[in-house]
Amino acid sequence: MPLSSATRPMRRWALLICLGLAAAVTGAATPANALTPEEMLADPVLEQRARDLSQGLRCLVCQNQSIDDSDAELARDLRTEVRRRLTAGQSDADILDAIRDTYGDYVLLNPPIAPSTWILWAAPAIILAGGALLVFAARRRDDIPDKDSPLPARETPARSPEHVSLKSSVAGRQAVALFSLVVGCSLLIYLALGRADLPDRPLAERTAEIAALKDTAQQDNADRVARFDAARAAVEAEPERVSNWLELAMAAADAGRSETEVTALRQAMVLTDDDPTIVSMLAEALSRAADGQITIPARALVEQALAANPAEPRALFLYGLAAYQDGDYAAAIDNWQQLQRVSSADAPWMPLLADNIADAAAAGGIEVPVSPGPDAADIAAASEMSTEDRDAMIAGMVDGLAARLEDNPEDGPGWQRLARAYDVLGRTEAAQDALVSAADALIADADAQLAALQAIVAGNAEDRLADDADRLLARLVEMAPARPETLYLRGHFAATNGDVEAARAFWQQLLDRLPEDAPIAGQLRAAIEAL
Amino acid sequence: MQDRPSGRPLRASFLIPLVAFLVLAGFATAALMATLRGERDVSQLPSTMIGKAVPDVVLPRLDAEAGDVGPAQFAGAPLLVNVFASWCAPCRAEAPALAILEEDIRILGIAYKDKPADTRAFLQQYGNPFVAIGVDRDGAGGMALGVYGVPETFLLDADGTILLRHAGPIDRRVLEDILLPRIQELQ
Repeated sequence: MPLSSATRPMRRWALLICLGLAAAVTGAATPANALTPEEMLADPVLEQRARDLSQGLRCLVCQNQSIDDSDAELARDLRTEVRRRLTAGQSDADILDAIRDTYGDYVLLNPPIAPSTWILWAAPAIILAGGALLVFAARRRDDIPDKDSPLPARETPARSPEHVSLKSSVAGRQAVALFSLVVGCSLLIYLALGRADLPDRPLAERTAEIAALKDTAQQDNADRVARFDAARAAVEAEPERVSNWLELAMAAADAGRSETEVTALRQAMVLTDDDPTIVSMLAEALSRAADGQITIPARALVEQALAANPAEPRALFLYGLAAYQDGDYAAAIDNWQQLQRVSSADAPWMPLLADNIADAAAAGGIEVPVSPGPDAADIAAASEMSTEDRDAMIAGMVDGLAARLEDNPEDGPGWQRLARAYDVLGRTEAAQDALVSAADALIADADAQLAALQAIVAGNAEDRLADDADRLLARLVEMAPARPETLYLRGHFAATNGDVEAARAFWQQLLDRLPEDAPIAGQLRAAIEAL
Repeated sequence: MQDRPSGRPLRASFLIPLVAFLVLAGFATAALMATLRGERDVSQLPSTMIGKAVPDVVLPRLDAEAGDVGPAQFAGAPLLVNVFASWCAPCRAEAPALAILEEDIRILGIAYKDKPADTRAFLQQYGNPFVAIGVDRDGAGGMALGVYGVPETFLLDADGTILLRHAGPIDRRVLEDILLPRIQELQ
């Protein structure tokens, strides 16, 4: 077999690569799981069943990890649920069925065998069989001219029978070798990398380069842990010293242990009887743990700190940030400018602050005389990204509805919807305008006229929308002259226009129609008096 | 044919892999185009809950004296169930959308893993579009609904069958193209 030996080195080389790869990946795979000790069951048999089940369930948050591997909160909930059901005596199949019922087949890392997945499961076999068929066909084609037909085919006039036979058998062998190679490699790779129940492989263990980085990181980490442990020991030794708790909070923040940080700050807060600086540090810690969102509890703390000390810098900054996140840019600027005034000119946060103010001014279309610090611009942009995205999304949604209504102003309910959205966003004037448009679209609807007029009165917009108010009121008078609201509004607008006599007449008329003990009768009488 | 090294004619079997590849590429392109046009959202997981009766979730009401609340109490008319939390930023972003939807359908809120005091402050700040709010302190109610992140929104018909589920905030596209048309269809 002179020719086939030539292919051998190549084959051996390829096989070596396959085996090496498989060994490398299986060797590197170390079990990693997110399970915390308090989740584990006391019974080792049940616990093992729980682990086995968890490894087959997908975490729907980080979708290529099992719930056994994932740190996500949903994964923890599901692990707890699996253990709860196990303790209740359910079988593995019952548990999988129950979880599948709510989360779907997708929650199983190994797809179930069902009519809808037959093609999926059969695909490897079909492809293998197809490949085998092709190889077989190729061999037969090469063999046919030699054995079955004594005459050489037209295309191969020069071949001698021995030559053809030798060549075809080599080609066949090569094909079979290649075929088994592909199948073998695929199997090895699948077993080493693809199986659903394989544990997660932490990124840091994948390459030597990353391992080296990990060493330095570990050193830093060891320093942090040492600092953290020292701080904790100090707290245990002298729990009455506030500075010990503050050091523990800072060490915990440095080590990324936000829960300990929050606990330590709370303790410091108690010891100092709610010192505003510590209260705002706690607010900051809570917000940091919430990815920079000033959460509701953090907001309450900020307000508490400002009530105790209206010039507390950290609280002022956070209060401004909270307003910014709500889209109340004017309030954000107010608070930040307040902070600028109470800070010394060389305070480290001044450049960032100036930049934040410029940012809020741009977002809210407010003119503020500030000189933005260019070096801090990138930092601010990065840290505010999610808020901007969110604001853009809200604005886009409402503007889209507004634009659609501009094209189709006859859509009265649409205008009312837009008014509600503006109302939620705090854009009072825009809400009033939308209600006026709704009233104009729903010309025969007394309630629509009434709603717009009431919004105008409630928002003190009688002057700004004087013409609109006249038009709407005229319609309302025509449709519902006797309604108490109509009488009240006619009186109100007469009073605004300075026509005291008419106002008194309308309100007196309304008063006469009200029962004597109506709660608003007294107010109305007072209003008439005030005229 | 003469310039083929083997001297053999091109066989039809050579076309098999090519055709197979083109079929696969066709499917991939169609999926990609659907994603780009916004018809297919890769972040949405398939839900088994659609077409099923809503699970019997019963939660304490946020206004504690009023007892328990669950989707079953609202049978007889369509209902929107919105799972939200005060700690969830996208929930703030969808507040205007819920204010718009409140006009057309009753909305039951489920406060997922949230402290009642925080939920109340959240509603004060961003508006309360809900007819009632169930307090889901430990997330058990969310788990029964198959919730894997907040916010999530379910549309139920009058019989309590889940017609539609949306994971993530309700943005303009979802509001105008998906939710409002389906709600109008129901009424």
